[in-house]
Amino acid sequence: MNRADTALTIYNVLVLGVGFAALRPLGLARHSTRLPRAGLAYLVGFGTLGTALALAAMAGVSPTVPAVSVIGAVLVGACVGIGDRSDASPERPPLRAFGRRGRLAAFVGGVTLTTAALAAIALAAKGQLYAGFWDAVDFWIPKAQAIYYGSGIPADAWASIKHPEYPPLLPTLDAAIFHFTGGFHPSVLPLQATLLGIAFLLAALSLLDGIAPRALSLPALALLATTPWFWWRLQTPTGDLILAYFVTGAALASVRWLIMSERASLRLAFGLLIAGTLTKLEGGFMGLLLAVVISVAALRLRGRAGRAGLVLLTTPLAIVPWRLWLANAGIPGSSPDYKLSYLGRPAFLADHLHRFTESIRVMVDAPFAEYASTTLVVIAIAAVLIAATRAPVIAAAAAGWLALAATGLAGIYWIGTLPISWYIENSVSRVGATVIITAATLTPLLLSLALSDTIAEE
Amino acid sequence: MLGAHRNSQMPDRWRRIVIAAAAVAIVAQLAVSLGHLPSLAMAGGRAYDTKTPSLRDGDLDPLALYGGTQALVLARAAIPPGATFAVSIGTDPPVAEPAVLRRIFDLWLAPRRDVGDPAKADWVIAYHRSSESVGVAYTTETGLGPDGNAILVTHPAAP
Repeated sequence: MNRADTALTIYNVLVLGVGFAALRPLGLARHSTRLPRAGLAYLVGFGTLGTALALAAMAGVSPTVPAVSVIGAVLVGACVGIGDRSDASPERPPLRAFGRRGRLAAFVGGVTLTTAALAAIALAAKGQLYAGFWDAVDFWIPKAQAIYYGSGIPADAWASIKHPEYPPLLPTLDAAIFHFTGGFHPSVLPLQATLLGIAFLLAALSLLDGIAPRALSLPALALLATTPWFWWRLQTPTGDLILAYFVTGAALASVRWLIMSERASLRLAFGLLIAGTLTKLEGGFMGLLLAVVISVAALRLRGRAGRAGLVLLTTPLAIVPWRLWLANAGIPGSSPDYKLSYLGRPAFLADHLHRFTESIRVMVDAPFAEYASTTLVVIAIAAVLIAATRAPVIAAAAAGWLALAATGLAGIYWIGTLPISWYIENSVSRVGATVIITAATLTPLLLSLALSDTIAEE
Repeated sequence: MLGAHRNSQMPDRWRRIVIAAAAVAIVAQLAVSLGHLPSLAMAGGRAYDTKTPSLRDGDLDPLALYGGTQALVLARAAIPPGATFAVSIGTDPPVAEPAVLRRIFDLWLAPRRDVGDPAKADWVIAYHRSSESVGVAYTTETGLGPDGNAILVTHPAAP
């Protein structure tokens, strides 16, 4: 093991340590079984440490090894100090369904998932594909590089890189990795991205445990993990999949809260949406849509008791410190690729309606271009329809968010300043992936709702 | 808890339909994922059998996708970290995507800063063109392999 490997191991242990500590005040310290809980801890640690380091970088603190260590230690200390919640999610036994055949399905799904994960790690460990993703080379890695060489976030260098308006969570964490490895080493980033992707799959399993039997959850996650575009992009050192992990995790946690009334799940959704907001501009927009849908569903299901869900509506405010930093640095806070003010101009919208309809057409057609995505989407749609007969509010919330997120993206392309062909070629598959990944992970949950008569605790 | 939100008791017939649908979904998910698994496992296996490059080579080699890496290495060695630079790309032979190549130099040469204009830079990378054709006065010329040279620009003294 060379110095970089040792440094990366220490960095990952730190992320995991922060995550495990953060699970306590969230009320998830005993949630699920060990391995899925470790995945959840890594995802939460990545979001928590990333949020803290990004805020520190805005305040002029570089993510050097001492700074990351101190901030990590403070986070762990604070979380341990708060301690376990009295309303913590209890340790629930796994659900079972379909008897021996169900156990066999879970076993095959688990083996498939494990094999796909190990293969992804083997590929990413070589680091040879980091430059194959143009956005990574064009602006994600240069931003991390600017933070690594600068003090805090260097305004001049930042402003000269494409999309300076994107929030800095991922570049700050990548800069921390450069500090840990002792230099600008972009080839280590694919492995880190892959570890996070695998952690996300385990976190999804963890959030499905207690609601969906593993006979449903493991095959669904195995399908997602082996869907070619998802598997190959696991190692992408860009913000697109990371945004999908945060938003999907928040969607699962918030729907779990609707079903189980566990405050721990609501707190988790809140934290993940904040991390998503600080990952990409789309994070705030998708998070807000999710918050609206969950709030409406909670009020419908629980009346006054559902008002707790309104807290999710505040998560887009996490962008405020970043907006203040941008304003102070004299950098525009909105993307040059679209102008929100166009939404208030009916004549413009009418003239450009073809952009909206073309975007919707591409989004509807795209998943049917290859059979893994087709399977994933068809089963997700069937799950929503079946669940609607048993749990209409929750099924409507899931379907509503998926439809709103896709329509919202098409709306952005509608008011875009670039040719619609550019968005279709460069943006739909990356940003739209969040919608498909969320649909894939909600599928076992929705099927479980429909099957709730036939599912039992072990 | 799981059934607490449900609307009503499920009729037997509908229950059988739902169970059948779930079973079909599980079989389809497993079949499709198992169908893809061999190619993914082979990609992982091939990568596992490949010799792991040194950290520096691992950083540099992927950039060969966009241009010659020898010029990147030699330019980094020639230009001091605190200096500014510009990339002047010629047509001998033409470069497919000059903007992409410029971005790769920016990435590899950081923290050296690309100022764009050769006349304002401390160093100019003359890529696929002669140093003389850049149009700036210079004192030192360092070879960057077959792709070009790095030249140290002479700035006129301020009046």
